[in-house]
Amino acid sequence: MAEPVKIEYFQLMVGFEFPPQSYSLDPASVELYLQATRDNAEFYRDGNLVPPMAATAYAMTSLSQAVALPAGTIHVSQELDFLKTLKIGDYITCCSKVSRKVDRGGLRLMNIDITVINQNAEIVLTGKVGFLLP
Amino acid sequence: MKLTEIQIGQNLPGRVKLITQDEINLYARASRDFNPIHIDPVFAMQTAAKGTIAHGMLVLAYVSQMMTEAFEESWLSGGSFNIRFKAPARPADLLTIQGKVEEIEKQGLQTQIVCSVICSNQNNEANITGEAVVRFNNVEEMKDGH
Repeated sequence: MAEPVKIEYFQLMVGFEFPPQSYSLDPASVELYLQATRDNAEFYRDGNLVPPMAATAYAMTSLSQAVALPAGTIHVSQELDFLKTLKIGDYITCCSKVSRKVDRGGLRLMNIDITVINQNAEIVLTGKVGFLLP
Repeated sequence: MKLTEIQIGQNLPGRVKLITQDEINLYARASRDFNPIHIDPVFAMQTAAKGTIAHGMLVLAYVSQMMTEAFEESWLSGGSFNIRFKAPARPADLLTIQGKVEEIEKQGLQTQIVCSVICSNQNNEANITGEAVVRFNNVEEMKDGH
């Protein structure tokens, strides 16, 4: 399958919305995430709960698959608000939008706001990603 | 951690994690982020990073684990991060994750616990610094005994 065409940095304007991406928080995917992060919290397994950082990881992946940032771009900051507990079986959709773009005197910064909603259209997490570009 | 027992200056349950390339590769599968800077040593060696680096979200997940251990479900649906990535974590780095209660703010029916968090490597270089906040609903937490 051909790689999807990525949006280039110079094409991005404040307000630009990336195509939403959806993910199923099925038991196998969540177990893989728990193993990868060496999270032994029985708390998640016993309660069929999903670490909020798993949804954040998917949101970041959906972003990196949509935009081609220049080599040397650094992810410098991250804000996150966990609003609703995620459970195994939830179906999430990750949305992201350019909220700030600064290109002044050699300084290039970009902020992207992320919002993750569940299958009931409830917001489960929001965040802001900060990039410093070369 | 019960809300009534939390005190300013209290340390959170810290942890130590050794980063390995195998673990980075597994995280790439779990997060579906296969950027070669994380998983391809030959490619990564030719970049400014001069080698593979761990996903920032993997390292932040360790900080989140500490918050979950301390505050359980209150963190999952009332937690927030405001952090900066100071330096990447690399394979063979031994990371120490620590946190401390800095402020307790009562606002009406809610209490906010403000914690400083830091993840640093074996050379005491910070990978992540910042703040984590947990919001408790006073009435429900008192009822549940947390």
